[in-house]
Amino acid sequence: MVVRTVFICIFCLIFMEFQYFLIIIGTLTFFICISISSFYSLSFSCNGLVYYDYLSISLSVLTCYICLLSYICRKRVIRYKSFIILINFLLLSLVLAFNVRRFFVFFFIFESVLSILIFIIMGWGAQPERLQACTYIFIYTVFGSLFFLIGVGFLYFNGFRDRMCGIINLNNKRIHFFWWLFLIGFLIKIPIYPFHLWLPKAHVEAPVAGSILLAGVVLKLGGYGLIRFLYFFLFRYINLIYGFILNVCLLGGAYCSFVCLRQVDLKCLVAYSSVVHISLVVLGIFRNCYVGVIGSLIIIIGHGLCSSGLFSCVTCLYKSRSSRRLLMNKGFVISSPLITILFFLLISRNIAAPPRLNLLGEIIIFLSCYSVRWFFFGFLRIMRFIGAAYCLFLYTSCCHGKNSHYLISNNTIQYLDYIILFLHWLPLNFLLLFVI
Amino acid sequence: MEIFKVKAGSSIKFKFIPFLIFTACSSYFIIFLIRRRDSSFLFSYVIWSNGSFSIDFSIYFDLISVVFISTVILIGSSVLTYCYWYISDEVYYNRFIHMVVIFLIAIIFIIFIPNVFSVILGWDGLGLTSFLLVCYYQNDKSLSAGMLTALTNRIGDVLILLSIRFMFSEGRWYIYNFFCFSNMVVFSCLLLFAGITKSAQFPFCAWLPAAIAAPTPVSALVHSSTLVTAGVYILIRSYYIISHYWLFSFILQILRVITLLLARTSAIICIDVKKIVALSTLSQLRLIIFSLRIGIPFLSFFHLITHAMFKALLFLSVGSVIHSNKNIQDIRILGSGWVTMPVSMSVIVVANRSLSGLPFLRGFFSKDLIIDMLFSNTISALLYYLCFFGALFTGLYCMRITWIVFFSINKLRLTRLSLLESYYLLGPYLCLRFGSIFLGFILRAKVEVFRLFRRCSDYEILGVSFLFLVSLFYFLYLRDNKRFSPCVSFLNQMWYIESLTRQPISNSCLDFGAVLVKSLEKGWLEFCGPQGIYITFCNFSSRRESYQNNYFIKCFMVILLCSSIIMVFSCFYF
Repeated sequence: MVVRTVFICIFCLIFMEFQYFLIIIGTLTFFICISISSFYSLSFSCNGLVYYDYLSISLSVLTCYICLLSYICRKRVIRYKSFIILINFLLLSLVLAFNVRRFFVFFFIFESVLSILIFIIMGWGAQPERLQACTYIFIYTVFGSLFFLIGVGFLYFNGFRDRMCGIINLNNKRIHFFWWLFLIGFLIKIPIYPFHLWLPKAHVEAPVAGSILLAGVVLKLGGYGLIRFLYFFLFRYINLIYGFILNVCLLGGAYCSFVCLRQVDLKCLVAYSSVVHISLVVLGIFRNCYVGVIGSLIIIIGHGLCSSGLFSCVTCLYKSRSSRRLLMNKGFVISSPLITILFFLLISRNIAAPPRLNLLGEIIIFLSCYSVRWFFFGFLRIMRFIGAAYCLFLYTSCCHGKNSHYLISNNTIQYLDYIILFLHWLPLNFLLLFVI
Repeated sequence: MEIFKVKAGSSIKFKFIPFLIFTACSSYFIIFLIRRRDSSFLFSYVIWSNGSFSIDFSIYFDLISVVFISTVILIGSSVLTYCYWYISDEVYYNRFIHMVVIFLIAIIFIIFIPNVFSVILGWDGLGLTSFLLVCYYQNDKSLSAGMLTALTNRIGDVLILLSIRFMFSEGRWYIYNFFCFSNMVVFSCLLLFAGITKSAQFPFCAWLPAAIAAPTPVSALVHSSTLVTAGVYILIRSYYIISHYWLFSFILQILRVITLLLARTSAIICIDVKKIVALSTLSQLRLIIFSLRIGIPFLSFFHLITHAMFKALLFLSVGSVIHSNKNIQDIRILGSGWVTMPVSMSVIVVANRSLSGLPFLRGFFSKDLIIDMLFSNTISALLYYLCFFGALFTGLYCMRITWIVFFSINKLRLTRLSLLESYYLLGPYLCLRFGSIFLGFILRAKVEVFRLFRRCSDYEILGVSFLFLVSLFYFLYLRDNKRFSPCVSFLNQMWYIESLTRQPISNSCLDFGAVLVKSLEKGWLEFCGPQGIYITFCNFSSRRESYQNNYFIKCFMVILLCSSIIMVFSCFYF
């Protein structure tokens, strides 16, 4: 996988101009890899650094695909050569993070992804508020990963080997002292409800490719970590804190879906909707059964494709109107009907309409989580209903009716944007056939 | 690049006439040849299995699904053919046609799939495409109607999704002929309410009259064979689950009476001709659900089929009247249609007589059976008279449509420019009218079960059947709405049902969202999080800075310096 990634990086740098060739190769690779690693029992470890199983393969294929999509839209940004070098670094470090075997190397990459992200936001963001956004990201995630570093150190001192996938030592009482250190690091990275404030700010300030990468793969580092350390939390099942985290997470998901109804900013709305999805992921992981983990992995992949597609779509919309306000972006069904179709398709993936990946994941999580608490269903019901409400609200306020009276500019949407949106939509529909 | 530059108007418009002929012949062939036997076929394909948990995709053929599917395809092809006449001046004609076809495919999924896991495929697709079709016209009214429709159907989606969990613990996914072993009150309630949201019974009935904001062919589909019948179809199929509990019949009884009063009283006052037809759908659904309550699911299916046929016919004909009168739906302006549109008028007569259950038309056989069962089954006298007057009201509003569209003076004064009744209009009329007239008789002759039912006295049936005579008096005496003036707005707004059910929910959700944004997102989370920490640190460091700059410190430092110098000198001195 790492070799392939290096190959892809070099390949993209060489064939930078032949983008249709890139698209075809990327899509083919995506489908083939996902269908080969269809979530079962395929695990392989080299001596030393690298370890594969279903989780790492599917997530690194997702990373490669989304990085390819952000290669495609590179011409839209200024200074695109240095941008591509940054994306290459990000791709390499993410794939290493999903495949690496040692804790300390994982921690190192976990942090280096943050610095690359800050480079992207600072270098290619537009508004001066990006300074504040970078501070938010930095403070929140470094705060979390500091605990993670301490936890790794404790783990090493308590006689565990330096392996990420070997923690199946269930009865070790020494872990009791520091299991929550890991938890905080990943939960802030995912992010769950009370720690989510950095996410909308970062998304709003990031450029297109930056927010595609952020929503598509960088947030998945947290989910990956939670699934890897699953056995770690397993014996705390009855713990008070466990229930507390789940309650806060689900309540926060329901709260965020209400907050989405009151957003006035396109990108902010999509960012908050990804917080809602993430709370489902956390629920599925903490259910601690195989079906729940599979469900949350399906949601992770579906959300990676879907919300990054929504971000690129929303970017197309506000680039053509030169404003991110919902008030200004109106009447796209008249001016550009093709983008409304793609927008509606992506929106209907976001509200988990069939036959999509998200619906399968949601159903599996619904099935797996009932026995935890009965009132979780209330939260899930609210999230699903209000989720439909805000997604349709976003769609209709952008695409239905007449143009806004305050229209300043009406730039055309380019052919390349349609290609990118289509490539986001395609695997969301047809991946279902390969996954199960 | 070229594919995105196709001009919208230049593409070929689908006409569907050969398709209509083919589907009409084949579906009537199927319906006529089918016999009620107990044979049924189930095709099932396991797509994922893991331990005891497996997901499969399955297709189920039996009498009900085959008859229903042929009816849906017949109505769908008629409506698609009718679209060519009705919205031929639409720029994006093919976009509309594609959406209608997807809508039909979704209902076909619902009919064929017995598996509650994969029936969502059709159920959710129906909700989304109906949303797109209802808000097809780009104005605010159709937008609010579309949101109301989509969100009410979304409640049903959520309930179905939750009911999957109960099937999961039962170990199989089929809801048809399902005899439950464990106590499944919650499950049956979920299914019941999911069916009620789709079929627009009382607490959720605001969306059905609102959904007439869609183009008329779409309303014909929604009201006859797709959206509302999907809910009834699920109820019929899951009858064996939900009929176990007394709650079922109790809830249905109450909802039935309320829906009956609401729909009928609004329909005799309403001045929107399309809305009258929509309200008549509401009251016919009440009949269908009633026959579910008295324990004959197949009878309700029979009436579902017949109702689909003549309701589609009624919508098409009313739509043609509206379309040829410059798209005006106001009943006070329409009139004297028999001069300009003779065929449509005759179709309106047939559909309305069928709706009010006159003898020998199609509605007679099914509706009379239900009313018959109703008279012989109801225990309380109050319900008896309510049902009797309900049937009376049906006659009233059917007559109201017919009389006014036929004979009253057309105030539009533009009927000279009337549209030609082309083949795209006459073909669908012919297909559906054949069904409306003959199919009830034939279906009744095929199904032996109906002959076993006891019939009540002939006078009652005659009374119900000839109630339209009463409506003549109504037309003569109560033609102007001034007699009802105090309660006109109350009845015209359907007892303010929309303001009572929709407004509080949406307002409270939006208010709650505003409170959350204000107090949590921009309040406490920032205050306890980054902003609070920032302010605390700023205060702390500014205090440190002021200590650093303080006069006291300076004096102290000067004293310290002097004393140290003195110390040093003294060291050297001594």
